Amino acid sequence: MDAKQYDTLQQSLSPKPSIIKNCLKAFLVGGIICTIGQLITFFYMAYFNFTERTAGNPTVATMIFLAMLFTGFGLYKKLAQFAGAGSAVPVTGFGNAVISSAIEHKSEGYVLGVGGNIFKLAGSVIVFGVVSAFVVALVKLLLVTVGVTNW
Amino acid sequence: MKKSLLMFIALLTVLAGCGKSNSAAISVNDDHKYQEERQSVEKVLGHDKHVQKVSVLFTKKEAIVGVEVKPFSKWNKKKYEKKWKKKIKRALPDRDVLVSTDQKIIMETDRLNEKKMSEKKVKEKIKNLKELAEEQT
Repeated sequence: MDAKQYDTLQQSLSPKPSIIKNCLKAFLVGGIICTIGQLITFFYMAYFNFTERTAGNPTVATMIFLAMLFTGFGLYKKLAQFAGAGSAVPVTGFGNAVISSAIEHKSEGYVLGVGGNIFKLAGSVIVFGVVSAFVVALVKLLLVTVGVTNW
Repeated sequence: MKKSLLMFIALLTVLAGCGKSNSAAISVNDDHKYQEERQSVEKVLGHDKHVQKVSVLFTKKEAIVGVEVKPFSKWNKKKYEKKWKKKIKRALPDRDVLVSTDQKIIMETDRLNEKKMSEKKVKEKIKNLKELAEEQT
């Protein structure tokens, strides 16, 4: 059996991922996570001295903290199995990535294990976050120049 | 059954925008005392197509105007804010005016309007709100 034959055999036997269903699940769960974030923003604006502009920072911190707690309790992986990218793309996915690699490398010690590996997964999140922020800023620059929105 | 339900939901979504009047609701901290000022704010913002709700706090020297912008107008709310500020300043030349589309300012002006507080307390609150509105991060 050559490589081509193996490929066709493998493709015919392996179950096909239902892309639309997965997208819908990701959309729903991602949307729910963002709605929770919006509610937390409203909470900070209603009960503390934060404006729409400044409430973003504590909201992100709270969402990451909650995701870290749920990862520690083993609940976030159940959500991630169902939602896929819907739970990984929002900022909660960052918290999950940090804590899961910390848990994974705990047996290697606190300094070289946890400390050295805690950003192993989250490092890529930071890199792609910065890159996508740059792209989004370019898109916004374009929109501002055209006159659709302003800074 | 499923199809008709979907159609019904789609119809509801489409019709959700109908039936609302064109003018925005305006609330003021003291309706009797500041009736003239209220009218001049209403002239500027009452029939603007981007405005959903307005709540205003007046004192003798100051005015804070919280403007809730319609969802699709939020793209350009800073631009509208500037435009409205200019117009309201022209309408109320002897007052220090702050126009804000920030949710926090709208929430607070709404809350203070319902409480009916004394002029002195309103002044204090306005000072706080102005400081808040200037915060950048």
